[in-house]
Amino acid sequence: MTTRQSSELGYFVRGQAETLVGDAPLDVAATRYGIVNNLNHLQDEMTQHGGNLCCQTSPHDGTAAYFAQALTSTSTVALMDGMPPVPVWLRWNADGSSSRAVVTLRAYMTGASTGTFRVYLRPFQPDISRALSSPLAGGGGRIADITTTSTTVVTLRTIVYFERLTAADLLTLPGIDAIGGVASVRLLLAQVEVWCLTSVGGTHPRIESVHVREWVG
Amino acid sequence: MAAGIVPERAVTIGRTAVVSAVPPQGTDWAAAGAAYDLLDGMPSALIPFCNPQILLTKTARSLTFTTWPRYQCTHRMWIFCVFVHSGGSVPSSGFGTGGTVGVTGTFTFTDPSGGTSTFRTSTAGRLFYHVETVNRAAYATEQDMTCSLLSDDESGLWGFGCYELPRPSLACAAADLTTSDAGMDSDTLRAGMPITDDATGRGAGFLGLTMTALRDSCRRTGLFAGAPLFSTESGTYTEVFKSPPIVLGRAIYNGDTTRTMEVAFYAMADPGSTGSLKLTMASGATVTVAISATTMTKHRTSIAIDCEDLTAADGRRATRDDTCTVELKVASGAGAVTLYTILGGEGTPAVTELLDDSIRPPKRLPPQYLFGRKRSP
Repeated sequence: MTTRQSSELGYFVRGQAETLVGDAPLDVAATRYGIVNNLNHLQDEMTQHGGNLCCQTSPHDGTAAYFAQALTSTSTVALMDGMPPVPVWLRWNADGSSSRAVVTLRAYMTGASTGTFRVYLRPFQPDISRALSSPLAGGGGRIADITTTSTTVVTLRTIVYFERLTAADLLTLPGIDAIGGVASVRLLLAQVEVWCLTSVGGTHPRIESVHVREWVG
Repeated sequence: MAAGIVPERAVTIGRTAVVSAVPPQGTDWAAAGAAYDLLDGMPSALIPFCNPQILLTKTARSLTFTTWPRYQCTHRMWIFCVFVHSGGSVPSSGFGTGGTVGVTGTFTFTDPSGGTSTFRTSTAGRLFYHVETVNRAAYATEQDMTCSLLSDDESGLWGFGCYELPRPSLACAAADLTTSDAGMDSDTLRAGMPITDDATGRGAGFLGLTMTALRDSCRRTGLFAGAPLFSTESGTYTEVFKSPPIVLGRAIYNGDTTRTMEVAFYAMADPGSTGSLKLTMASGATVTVAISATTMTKHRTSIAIDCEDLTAADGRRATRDDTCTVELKVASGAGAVTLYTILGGEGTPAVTELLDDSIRPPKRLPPQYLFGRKRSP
């Protein structure tokens, strides 16, 4: 499966400007096709895999893991210690769904057990008086779990997204206008959090880096 | 005044009417104009959210990043995660899960345009945002952005990023995207309107004239960023980040496999010493930069990175992420070398590009048509 839907050629073609000056015949199909192709391609490139939204890797400190969490009960769900919520901007697709946040973790377990990292996408929460609620408590967010048993650093990847948003969902999603008062709702402002759960046997999950990019699949 | 209205959603441009013998302007061109405005008004991630792990004190600290902003941007959103921690060490409990109740402080941020915000912080880390009104008169394709951070208590800066905000509408002035909004007035795309209107500069011809500039403007400005304040006295390369950042460039032309990532960083060496910064991509490229300045100085380099693989569902080449390993060492002398901030992105685009043989019409079109000129039989 290829990822290109709207740009038939899949790449940008040069030379449009030179054919569109003076008496050049705009109604020549190749020229017009080229412009449409290029616009579609740029839309793809700007929204398909998108730019990076986060490169949350820490300065190298030699030995200590970056984001760590100690869990002793399999029923515990905890925000990874020291990991701030990551703000993300999600764009609207033509069909009304939102773009997706591709979250890549570099993580491991300190001992032989299974750890689950819960990637939680929810509306941006600028209000500092509100404590972060557990993803188990709902709140209009979306969850994607990644499980590993590795005791060496591995790359874990998942995708979270708001799709086919309901009216209730929309009410929970602040647009840029609600934040900055300077634009209308052309992007959704959300945040990605990484929680962990199901740590057994006294071993603990560790995360060395978090990487987020947007992707319109 | 005519304006380009930025649609709220991506636009699907119909292609069925874009064939010979149908009017060159009409409903399909209205969609194309909307797509143009969407691309023109969309923002960039100038400084991708990174983790400086900086301790803020009552002495203001400045962070300088070199970025490549878009002229169209009028407002930027700066986001920080700041929390109070007494004693100068990282708290044992995480954000929102503990900390010393009742310990609060304030944190003041000054943006590059001079705007300031002051926030009330606590031991529970939170996201704070500040909206900068950009001074576009000072616009340059490459800008050093210095922000100032000040705290009245010991606070930790554990998240930091800067993103441009989208534009709802764009002025229809000149066609130069580096000096004006260059919005597209869709009214000039109605059937019966001139292909190119000399008075307004609009019409379908405008889309063609601005296509290359729009391609450059839509670059991925920020691919990774960091403010590690990393210092070493070692004569062997030491990795700066715990895990290397992942980057992926745009695939623009047919056959592209790589894109050039510009990298700008601020570093210095102790007097009498020199240093070296080394970048190594998982895709194979390597570059080193000598550091000899004894005050914090901007350095520039560039390196080849993967661009998207159009045949892979997730865009990655060779089913692996292209990571950028950043290493630092002392090259000579007994002092230390320090890396303050680093940012990688597609950088400032080339201004001029010549036509080449990559231009090909789609196969379904009659071969005699090659971009507006009929070939001789």
